[in-house]
Amino acid sequence: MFRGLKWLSGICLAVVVVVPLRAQSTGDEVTPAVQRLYAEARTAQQQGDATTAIAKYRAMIRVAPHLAPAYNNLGMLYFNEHDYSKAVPVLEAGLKLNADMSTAVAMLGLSYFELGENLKAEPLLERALRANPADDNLQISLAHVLLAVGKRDDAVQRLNEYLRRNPTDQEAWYLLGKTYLQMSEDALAKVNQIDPNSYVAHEVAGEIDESMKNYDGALVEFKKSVDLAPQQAGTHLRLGNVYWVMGKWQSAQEQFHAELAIAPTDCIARWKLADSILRADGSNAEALVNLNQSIAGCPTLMQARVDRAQALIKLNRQKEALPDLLMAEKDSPDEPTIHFLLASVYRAEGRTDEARQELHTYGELQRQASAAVSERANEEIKEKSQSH
Amino acid sequence: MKRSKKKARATERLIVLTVLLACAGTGLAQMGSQQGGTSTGGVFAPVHDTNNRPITAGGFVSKGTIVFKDATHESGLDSWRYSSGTPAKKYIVESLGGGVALLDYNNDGWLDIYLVNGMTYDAMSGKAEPPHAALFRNNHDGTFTNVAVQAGVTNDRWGVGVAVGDFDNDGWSDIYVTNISGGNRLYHNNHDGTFTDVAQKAGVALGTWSTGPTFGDYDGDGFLDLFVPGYVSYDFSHPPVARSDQVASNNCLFRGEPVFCGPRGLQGEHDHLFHNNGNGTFTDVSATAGVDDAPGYYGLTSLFADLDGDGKPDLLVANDSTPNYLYQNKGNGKFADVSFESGYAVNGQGRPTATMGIAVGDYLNNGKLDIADTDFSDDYDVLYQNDGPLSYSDVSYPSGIAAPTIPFLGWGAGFIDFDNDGWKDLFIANGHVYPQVDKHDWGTSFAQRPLLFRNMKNGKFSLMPAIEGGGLALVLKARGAAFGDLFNDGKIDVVINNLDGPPTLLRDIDPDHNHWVEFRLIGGPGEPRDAIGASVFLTARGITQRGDVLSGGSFASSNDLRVHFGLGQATRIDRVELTWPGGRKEKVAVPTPDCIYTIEQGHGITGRMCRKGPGK
Repeated sequence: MFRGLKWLSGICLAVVVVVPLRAQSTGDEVTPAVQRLYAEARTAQQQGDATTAIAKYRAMIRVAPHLAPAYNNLGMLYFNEHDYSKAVPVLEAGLKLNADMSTAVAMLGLSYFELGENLKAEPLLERALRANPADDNLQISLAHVLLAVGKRDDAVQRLNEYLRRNPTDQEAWYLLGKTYLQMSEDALAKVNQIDPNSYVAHEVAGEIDESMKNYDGALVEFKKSVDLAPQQAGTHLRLGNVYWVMGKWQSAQEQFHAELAIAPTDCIARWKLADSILRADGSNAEALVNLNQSIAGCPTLMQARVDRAQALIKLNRQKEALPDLLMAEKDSPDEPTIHFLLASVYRAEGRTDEARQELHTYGELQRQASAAVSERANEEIKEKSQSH
Repeated sequence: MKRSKKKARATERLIVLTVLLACAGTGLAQMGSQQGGTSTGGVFAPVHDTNNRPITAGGFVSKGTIVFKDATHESGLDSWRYSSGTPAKKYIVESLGGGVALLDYNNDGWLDIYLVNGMTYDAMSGKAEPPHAALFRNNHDGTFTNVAVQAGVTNDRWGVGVAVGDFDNDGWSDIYVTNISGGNRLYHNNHDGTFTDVAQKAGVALGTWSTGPTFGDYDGDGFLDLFVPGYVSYDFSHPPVARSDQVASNNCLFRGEPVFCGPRGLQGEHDHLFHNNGNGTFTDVSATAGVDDAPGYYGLTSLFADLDGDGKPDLLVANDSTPNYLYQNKGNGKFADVSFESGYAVNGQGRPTATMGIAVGDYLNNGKLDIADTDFSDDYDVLYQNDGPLSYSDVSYPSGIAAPTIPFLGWGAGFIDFDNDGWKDLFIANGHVYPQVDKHDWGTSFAQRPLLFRNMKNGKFSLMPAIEGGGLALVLKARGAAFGDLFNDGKIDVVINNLDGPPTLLRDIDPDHNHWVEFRLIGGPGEPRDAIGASVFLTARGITQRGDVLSGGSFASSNDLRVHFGLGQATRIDRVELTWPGGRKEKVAVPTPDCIYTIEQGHGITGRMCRKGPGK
């Protein structure tokens, strides 16, 4: 939606300066009549009367058909009026008379871009940029054109050059990110092109389904992946993860067990196995064994530490849960869950005031989260109800 | 146009990839699970009985003692039915159901029954008569007669909840009925068997989707105030369906199956506290009192109860799929939100539940009020044990409440001593909101049987079997449930308001021979006349029990205002101490069990109705 409008308007401003009439090789065309027409055109322009200015330049070109600046200025007027189809032939005619008019080159390139003729736009913008390498507006416009013609690598190069000079330009960063995502999409599409029935292809499809919260679809894809490569590390983990997200704890446990049979040191699978056991109200002792192994492999996996604390609390070993919770709190002080569990520990130890303080913190964090969700929901509803 | 469509598609693809990349990391342990528009504990494996029925609609046994019998037909209650929308339950508004109140509206000493009704679309468009609410007058012979039309309490709006309270202290019970739209009703008792709706004049009509109200004198001025929770903002002309303007995001799936949208994703309605001005009018003081529910949580049921024993009623609000509220009454006209600090906002797993109903009672006989909340299927009902002043811990699993309740979707609930052994048991009425559950093997069902947990006197409960032919083997689409001694026999009966059908009257016929006692309390000057907010502490055979006069709770319902105690084999009541609303204490000597005593503040026993022999 914002496709470079800011930069295009910048270009317009840059070329708004009218090229003065100078005698070219056909200097004798700058007659008093032409000079009068030029003066009238400029006056009209200064008054914002583009229609009259255009008429004056058209008249000028009739009496002085070899006067390149007149084409440049007329083309600029059409360009500023967004009348790109008229700007193109005028600018082209002017450039035939004088190929060195860099602003005309830029405007012609941008006009082609606006008309969707990117293949024609690209060499013109490249040329304009060679003439003026520090022109940010041309740089970003060229990046747009390159993206449009599918030259993403070149576009990335242009964008990176631009961002080195303009590191706070959010729109440019967005464009760069979008480009990388498109490149990522291209790369993932290759997977399908090579073999749409490979386990990797199904994993990609599954991950896309999962990202869209289409968990049923994700299950189908990940199951196919598991069927095709049952001994491949990661396949069971992905399938198990969908079950985990869906709250199907038993199925999740089966897949995490299968994953661990292939990759026994996978601390994520080990943690999620334990987490599934805890959520299914299974054996806290079994969960604890797995959590100990997970943390031994990945000591910074705070999720596992929080779960281990939960398991210990359920086993009435609250005191042992405290170090994990304090570590997790340091890592993520705004995570409500940790404060809730800390309150449980303190309460069990008779540290009533600290328990209450943790519950208070927990409540505050939940209230903030709730207010944010509520505000967001209200905004969404308001937006939806106001749109037609 | 063509280009912008192309761009939109490209953006959509990119967003997918963005999310995909974002998913690559792992967040901290999630404590919640969301199934569409409601909060649940996840997805549990189905539990079947030997006939492969889901346990919610099966698990019956052929032998055993029937403790509740189905007395619906013989009582005449099946002459009335609740109606709500269409059977498909396409919209959330159709599935909520209504409450029930037990009250003695004509002061004859016998409980009558008020049942809230829903609405049909034909009635809304003027093509049919609106479904009427029912007021069943007790005929004292085990039967009831519906006198709602004569009494002027048919409501004729899409009703939800009901609370009973004598708001003008004239000695006659008034009725407050909440509705989804069109405004709530405050039926003032005219003392002649009729009522007049004074809601508009009193300033308590609202007009937004109101749910389970509660009466209580929060400021100690002797007049009952009124709290009304709000559920969601609902526009009948634009009902929320998937991807409609009214739904913030797609919250219209349950286990991947399309169901009605909400409540998550819908705009929440705020709660209201109305201060009784003592002149027949009320003032909305929600914001100044600090109970206006700024986030717009989905309130379903509320209850004033003195949870910390300071003589001032605190306030509980059960919220659907959002944290519950526990407001501490500060005594200066304001409440402090101690929901999280108290442990009541979420369950013991730190997860907000889809709370439907509230039961409050001292099941441990330690003088402190505990709380039981009912909630969604795939989640356990929560038993909050009172650990001290406004500090609760979730003891659902160790108490034995959690595991059996997971497949059930609970609504009305009450701590009742069904066997009069002196220990409060727990009754839970159940029924699902999605008819679609019957098409899947999810271990749950649209109609479900009620659950009765017997208090094992050691902090644990045992689930009573569903004996074939008994009331616990009825499979119902239950919603509101109210508890009280309908037959003045010392036994606590249950009336359930069922979705799209007649109500159910479960008569307590437990064959115990235990003694009992009941108290009807009448407040004195400066106190609510019906003594809502009073607490009774009774000691017999070394055990002290607590009973409270409460209006509201369960699901959108209101129980018998009389306080009931089972006495076991005790033939003597050693001590009765009352804490009247406002904190005034009074000791009363109670001569014999197996009676219903009237106690007036400052005057002791002023009336009695006794039966020969224990509990029959």
